[in-house]
Amino acid sequence: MKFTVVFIQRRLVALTLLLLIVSFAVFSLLDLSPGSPEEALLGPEARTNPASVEAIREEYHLDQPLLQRYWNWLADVAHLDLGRSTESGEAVTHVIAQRFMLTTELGLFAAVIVLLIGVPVGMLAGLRRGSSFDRVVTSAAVFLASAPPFAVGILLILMFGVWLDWLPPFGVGDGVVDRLRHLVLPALALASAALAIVVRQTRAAALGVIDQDYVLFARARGLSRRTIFLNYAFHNAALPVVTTAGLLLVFSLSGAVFIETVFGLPGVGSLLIESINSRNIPVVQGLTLLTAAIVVLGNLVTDLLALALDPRTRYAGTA
Amino acid sequence: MTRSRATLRRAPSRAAIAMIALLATAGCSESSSSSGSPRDTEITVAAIAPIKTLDVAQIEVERSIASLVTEPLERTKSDGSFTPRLATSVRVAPKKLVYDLEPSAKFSDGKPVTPEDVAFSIKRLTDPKTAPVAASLLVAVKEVAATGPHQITVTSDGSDPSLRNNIAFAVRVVEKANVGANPKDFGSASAPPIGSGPYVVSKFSTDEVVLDKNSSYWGEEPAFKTIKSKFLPDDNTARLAMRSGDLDVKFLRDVGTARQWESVPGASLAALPTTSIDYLSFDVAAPPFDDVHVRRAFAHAVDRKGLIDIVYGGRARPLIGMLTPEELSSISSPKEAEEILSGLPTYKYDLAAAKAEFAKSKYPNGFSIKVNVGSNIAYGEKTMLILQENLKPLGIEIKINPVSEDEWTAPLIAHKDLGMQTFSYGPLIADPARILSLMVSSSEAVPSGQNIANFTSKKLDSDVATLTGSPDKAQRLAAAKSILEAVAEEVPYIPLFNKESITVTSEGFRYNTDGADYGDYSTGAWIDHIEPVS
Repeated sequence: MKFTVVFIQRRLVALTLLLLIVSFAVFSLLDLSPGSPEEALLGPEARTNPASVEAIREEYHLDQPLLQRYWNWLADVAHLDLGRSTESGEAVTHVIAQRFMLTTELGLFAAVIVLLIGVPVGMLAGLRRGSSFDRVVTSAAVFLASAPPFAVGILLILMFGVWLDWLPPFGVGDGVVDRLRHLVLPALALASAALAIVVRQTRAAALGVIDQDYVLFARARGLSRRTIFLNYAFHNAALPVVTTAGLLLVFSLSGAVFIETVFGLPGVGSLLIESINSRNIPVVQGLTLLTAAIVVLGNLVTDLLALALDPRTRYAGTA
Repeated sequence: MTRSRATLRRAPSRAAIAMIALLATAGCSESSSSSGSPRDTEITVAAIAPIKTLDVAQIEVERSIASLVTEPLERTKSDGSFTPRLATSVRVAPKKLVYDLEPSAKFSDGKPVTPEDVAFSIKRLTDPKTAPVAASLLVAVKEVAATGPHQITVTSDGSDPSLRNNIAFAVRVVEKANVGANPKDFGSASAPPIGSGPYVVSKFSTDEVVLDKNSSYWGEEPAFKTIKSKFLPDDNTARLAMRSGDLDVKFLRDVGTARQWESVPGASLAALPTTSIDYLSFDVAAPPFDDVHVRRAFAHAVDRKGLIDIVYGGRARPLIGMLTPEELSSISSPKEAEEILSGLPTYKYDLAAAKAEFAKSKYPNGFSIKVNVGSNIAYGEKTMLILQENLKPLGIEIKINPVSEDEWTAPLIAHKDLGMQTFSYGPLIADPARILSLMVSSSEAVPSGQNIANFTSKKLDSDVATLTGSPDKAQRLAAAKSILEAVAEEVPYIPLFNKESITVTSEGFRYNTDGADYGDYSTGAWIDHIEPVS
C-alpha cells in the first residue's frame, strides 16, 4: 500500500513537470513558427488597417515578450483560467468543455468495442491456435492494423451509410438512441486499429498461458474448459493486454483527430485542427495540456491496474 | 427524422478567409430537402467548421447563415449592382449616403426595425475592438444618424468611393436592445441574434444550427420551412452523404474536385463566374526579375489552357488583365470593360517567343531561383513544374520549395526575398479600386503591404489616387485602364486564371443560376436560387 502511494505521488510530480515542459514547448514553437495570430485572424486586407491590428494585439497581449506572456498564461492556468479563444472570445475551458463530451463518448464507445470484441476473439484465437478461426482472425487483424482509420471510416460510410443505408453517414444526432446510432460507424473506425492490436496481444498472451504447467494441471484435475478459460487463461493473459491499454489511449486520441473530421463530429480532435489552422494559441495550449494530462493519467491507471492484477509487480516494488 | 434533406455547406468559417480567397476558400455550403412543396421542405446545410457565431462583428461569423437571420440594407453583386433589402432606396451625395428604410420591416420578436437600430448596427461595426475586420471596411464612416422616421444618413470622410458597397457587404441589421442585453456573447449559441430576416434560429449547437421560417417575415414568404447547417468538413464524406440523400447542395471549396462531384449519381453542378484571380508576381526591384525581358519570357512560358484543365478540371478561364471583365464593369459598361481588356498587350504560350525575349535580357546565360509554393495555392506547384520544364532549355533553373501556408505568408508580410510568388486573390467587394491599388501603390510596397512586385511609379500612385478617391466614374475608368496597361506592358504580375464558383445540388434540386452571383453566398440570396425539380 505504501509503495502504491509513493508510486502515485511520483507519477503526479512527473505529470506536473511534463505539463510544464509540454506547455512551454508548444508556446515557443507556436511563437517561433512563421505568421502571427493577428495576421491569421485579420487576413491580408484588414491587417493593413493599423487600428484593427492594434485592437487584436492589445486584446491578446501580443505586444508582450514571449516569456512574459508564458508567465502570465501560467499564472492564469494556476487559477484554472486557460485564457480566451482568439476566434470567438469565449473562455478556453468553455470552448474545450463544449467539444470534450463528444470525444469522450466516441472514445468510450470505441473502447467498449475494443474490449468486448478484441479480448474474447483474441483469447479464442489463441486457445484454438492453427484453426481456421485463428487464421481468419489473424488475417483480419493484420488488415485492420495496416488500414488507416480515416480510410476505414470512408469504407464504413460507403457500406453502411450508402449501400445498405442502415446508419447515418455523418453527424451527431439528437437524444441518446440517435446519438448512439450516429456514433456506431465512427466508433468502429476509431476502434479498428486498436482492435487489431488488442486481438493480437490477447492471442499472444493466451498462447503463452495455454502451454503453462498450471493449465495442464488444471486439465488433468478435470476442470471444465470454461473454468480453465476464465480462471486461469483469462486472468493470466490480462496483464500484457492491460499494459497495452495506455498505448491504445494515445492511439485513440490521435485517431480521433481524423475520425472526427471524416464523420463531421465537432469534438476536440476537429477543434485542434481548427485551432492550429487559425493559430488560436490559447485553445491549442489548452488542448495540449488536456491531451498530455489524459495520456499520463491514463498510463497511471493502467499501471495501477497492472499492480492490482499481478502481485509480483507489487513485491518487486517493495523489494 | 426526415429521410430526404438538403445540406448547405458553408463558406469559410472566418470572415478573414472569406475576404481573401488566397486559399480559394470561397464559400461552401450544401443543402437538401424532401419532395413536395418547397415551403414545407426541410433543408440541411453542411458547414466546413462548426458555426461559432452569427454576429457579423465577429471574425468567425458564418455569413451564409447569419444573412438569413439578420439582413443587409442592400445586397451587392460582383458587377457592382445593388438589390434593395431593408433599405428601399439609397441616395448617394458627396460624403453622404442616405438610406430610406422599409417601413413595414420588423424583427422576429415583433418589434419594428427603427432607424436607431440601423444606425447602431453600422456604428458598432466601425469600432475595431468590436469588429476588427468589418471596421477595416468602414474606416471612411464619420457619422451615422437617424434623419427621419424611416431614414438614416451615413456621413463619410469621402476617402472611399466603395463605401456603399462596403456597407452592403459588412452590415447586417441587429436589434439594439438585443445586443445590449447580451454584450459579451451576442450572436453565439447562448444568445443567437434576433433579426428581421426570413429565418429565425431555433437551435444552435456545435454540430448544427437550425433555422426555421420566420412566420411573421415582412417580405416574401421564405422558400423552405427549415434550414439545417450541419458540420461536415470532409469532402469524401460529403460526396457519400449526397449519395445517401443526406446532402443536396454543396458550394465547392476546391473547384478542382468538380469532376469527383460529377460522378455522384443524380448530382448537378451549377457554375457562376467569380472575381477571384490567380497570378504570379515578380519583384521588379531585385535581380533577376528587374529585367522586363525576363518577366516577359516567363509570361510566354506559362501554358494557361493546359493548367486550367489539370488544376481546375476546365472550371476556370484564362485571365487577360489583372481583373475580370465583370469586376471592371462595376465602373464601366460591360462593352467598355471588354474593350479595355482585349486591348491590353498579351503574351501567348510560345516557347520560341520566350527564348527570343530572354535572349534580350541582362541574363542571357540563365540563372537559378527558388520559389516558395504555399500549400494553400491550388495551382502553385503544377504551374511551377510547367515553368521549370519550359524554362530549363533557356538555362533557367527553378527550384520548387513546397511550404505550409504560414511559411509562404511570412516573407510576403516581411516583404523580403520576394522573387517570384504564386498568389490568389478574391476581392471582397466588386470594385477595381481595391485590387489595383493594392498591387501598384507605393504605400503597399512595404512590410504587410500587398504590392509584392515592388512595382511603383509616380504615375501609378496618381492613377491609384484617382481610382480610389474620385467620385467620377469616367476618370476612375481611365485610371484603371492606365494601371492595367502599365502592368501588361511591364509584367510585374502575370495574370493566370479566374476560376468559377460551383454549386452542386443533389437529385431533386437545382441551383438556378438566372440572376445568380457568386457573392450570393454571403448576402443570403443563395437560398432563393435553390429550387426543387420534379
